[in-house]
Amino acid sequence: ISLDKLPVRALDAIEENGVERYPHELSYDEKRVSLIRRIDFAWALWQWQSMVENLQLAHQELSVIIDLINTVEANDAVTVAGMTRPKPLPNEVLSDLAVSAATKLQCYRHLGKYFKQSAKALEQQIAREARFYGALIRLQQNWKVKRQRSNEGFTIDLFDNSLYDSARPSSLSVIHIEHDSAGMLAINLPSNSCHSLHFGFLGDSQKESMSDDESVKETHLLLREVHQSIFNDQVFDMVNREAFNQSAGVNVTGIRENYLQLSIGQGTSLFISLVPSSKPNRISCEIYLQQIVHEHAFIKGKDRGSGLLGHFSLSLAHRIFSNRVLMKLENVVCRVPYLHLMTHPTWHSRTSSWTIFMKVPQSILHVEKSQFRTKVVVNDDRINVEGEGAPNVVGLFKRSSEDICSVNKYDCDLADLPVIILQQVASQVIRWLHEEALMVGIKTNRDFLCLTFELEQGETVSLVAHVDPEDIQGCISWWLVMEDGEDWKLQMDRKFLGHLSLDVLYSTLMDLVSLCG
Amino acid sequence: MNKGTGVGTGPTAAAAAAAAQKQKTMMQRVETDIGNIVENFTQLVNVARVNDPAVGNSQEAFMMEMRAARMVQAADSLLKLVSELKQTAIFSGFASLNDHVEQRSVEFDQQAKKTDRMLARIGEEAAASLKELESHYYSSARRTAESA
Repeated sequence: ISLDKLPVRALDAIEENGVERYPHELSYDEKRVSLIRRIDFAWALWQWQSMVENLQLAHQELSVIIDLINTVEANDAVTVAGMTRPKPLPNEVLSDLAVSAATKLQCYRHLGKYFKQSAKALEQQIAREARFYGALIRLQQNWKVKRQRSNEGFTIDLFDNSLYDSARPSSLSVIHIEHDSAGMLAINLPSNSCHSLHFGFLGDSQKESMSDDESVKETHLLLREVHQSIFNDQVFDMVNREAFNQSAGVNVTGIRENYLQLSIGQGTSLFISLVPSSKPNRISCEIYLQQIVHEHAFIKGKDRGSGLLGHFSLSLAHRIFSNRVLMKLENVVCRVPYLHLMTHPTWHSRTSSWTIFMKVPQSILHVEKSQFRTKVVVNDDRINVEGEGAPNVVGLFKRSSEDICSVNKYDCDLADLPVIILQQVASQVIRWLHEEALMVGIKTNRDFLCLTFELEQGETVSLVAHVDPEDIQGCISWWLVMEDGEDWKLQMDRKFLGHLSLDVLYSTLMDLVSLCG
Repeated sequence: MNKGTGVGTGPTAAAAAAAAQKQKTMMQRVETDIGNIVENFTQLVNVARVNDPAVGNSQEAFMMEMRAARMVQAADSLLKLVSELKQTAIFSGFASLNDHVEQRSVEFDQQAKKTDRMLARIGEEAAASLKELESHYYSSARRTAESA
C-alpha cells in the first residue's frame, strides 16, 4: 500500500517566526520515474514471470540431468540402461506443430521474396541486353561490327581501303563499343578526335588593284567584322560569368574552350559556342574538294589521286580569274547602252563563257542579222575572244539563213580585254554602218574603226570611233573628221560627236549619205 | 541460330560440323539448366510437408535456400546462353546481312542519282533565271557601272 501525496502543496512545517517550509520539489526525472512507477505492469508481468519460471524450471531439470550424466560417466559401476522421452502432452504436440509450420511458412515467404528479387534483377538484365543487342543489330545494318575474343567486347571497324592503298589507317578506324550507365550501347570518342575540313583564303592573295574607294569599303567591312567579333566575345564572356552565378537559374553542365553547355530546366539543355567566322564561298570550296576526291577515289576506282589537288587548285584559280574577267566585261557593257551581256554556264569547273550582244536597229530592208555577237571564253586563265563581223553581202541578198560571217578570233590578256572588246564592238558598228550605206547605194571606205565618205573635190568626211574603257560617260565615242585631201595639205578638221546611240548613228549616217548624194 | 545448312553462303564441311557441334552443346546446356530448375523446384515443394517430430528444421531451411540459389543460378546461365545465341546471330547471319547491304547500296545509288538530277535541275533553273535577269537588266534604262 502506498499513499500518494495530495496534489495540494502541503506544508512540511511552520516555524515560529511564520516561515513556511514546503517539501522539496521533485526534479523532472524524479517526477517521471514516479509516474512510471504508477503504471500497472501486472498483465505483462505475469507472462514474463511465467516464462522466467519455466526457464528456471528447465534450468533446474537440465542441471539435474547433467549431474546425472556426469555421475554416470564418472562411475564405472553404473551405465545408462535406456532413455525415454516423456510422452508429450497434446497441447505440447500441437504447439510444436504450430511452431514448425510457422517456421516453415516463414522460410517459404523468405524464399518467395528472394525469388521475386532475383526475377526482377533478371528481367532488368534481359531488358538491358535486349536494348544493347537491339542497338548493335541496328548498327550492324550499316557498319562493320567485330567481336573481340579476348574480352568479349565489340568494336566497329571504320577503315576504308578504297581511298588509297598506302593510306595510314586513322586511329579513329577502330571504335570501341561500350555500355553506358543504363546498360545501353555507347560510343565514347576522345574530344578532339573528329576533324572537319576547314577551307579558307589567306588575306592578301586576292588583292588586286582596288580604287581607294573600294579599299576603304573593304576596310570598313573588315572593321565591322572585327567589331562584331569583339561584341560576340563579350556576349560569350557575359554568358559565362552569369552562368556560374547561382541566382541565374541555369546549371552549367559542360564547359570546353569557347563552348558552354547549360541546362535550363524542363529537361532542356543548350549550348553556346564561339566559332571562327567564315568567308563567303568557303563552304562551296570545301564541298567541291570533298566531292572531287570522292568521285575520283570511290567512283573512278583505279584512277588514283594524281592531279586531284592540281585540278582543284586550277579550278579555284579559274574561278577567281573568271570573276575578274566578268568584272571587266560588266564594266564595259554597262557603259555602252546597246550592249547586252549574257552568261553561258559551262558546268565545267575550269571554263567560263560569255557573249556580248549588240542589237542594231532594223533597217528598212529587214536585214536578217539584227545583232552582232562577241564571244568571250576563258579556259583556266586564257582568254579567247571571238567576234562576228558583218554578214556576207551575197548571202544578204539571197536571204539565205546561213550567215557567212567573218569571224575574228584571238587570245588576249586581262588588262587588254576591255579595249579589245570595245574595238571589236566598234568595228562591228562600223561594219553595220558600212552595210547600211551600201544598202542605200553609197560607196564608202571602211577602215578598222573608221567609215569614210567621199565628197566632191576629193574631200572626205569620216566617222571615226574612239574607244576608251575608262570613259565613264560611255566607252565608245564618235568623231567626225573632215579631210581636204586635194592640195596635199591634209587639212584636218575634227568634230566630237559624243557617245551616240545606234539610232542617232544611223540618222547621222543618213545625213552624211544625203551629203554625198 | 546459325543456318549452317548450305543455303546462301555455302559453308565448308568443317564449319558445318563445328556449327552442328556447337548447336548440340547448347541444347545440352539448355537441358541441364532446365532440368536443374525443375528438380530443385520439385524438392522445394516436397519439403513443404511439416514433419511430426519437429527435427531438422534449420537443416531444411538451409537446404531450401541452397535449392533456391541453384534455381536462380540456372536461370542466369540460361540468360547467358541467350546472349550467346544473339551474338552468334549477329555475327553469322551473312545471308541477311548481304541482302541488306545490297539493298542499302541500291538505295544510296538511287539517292545519288536523284541528287544529281536535282542538282542538274537547279543548275538549269539558275541558268534560266540568270538569262532572264541579265536580259532585263541590260534592257533597263538604268545600269550602274559598279560591279560586284
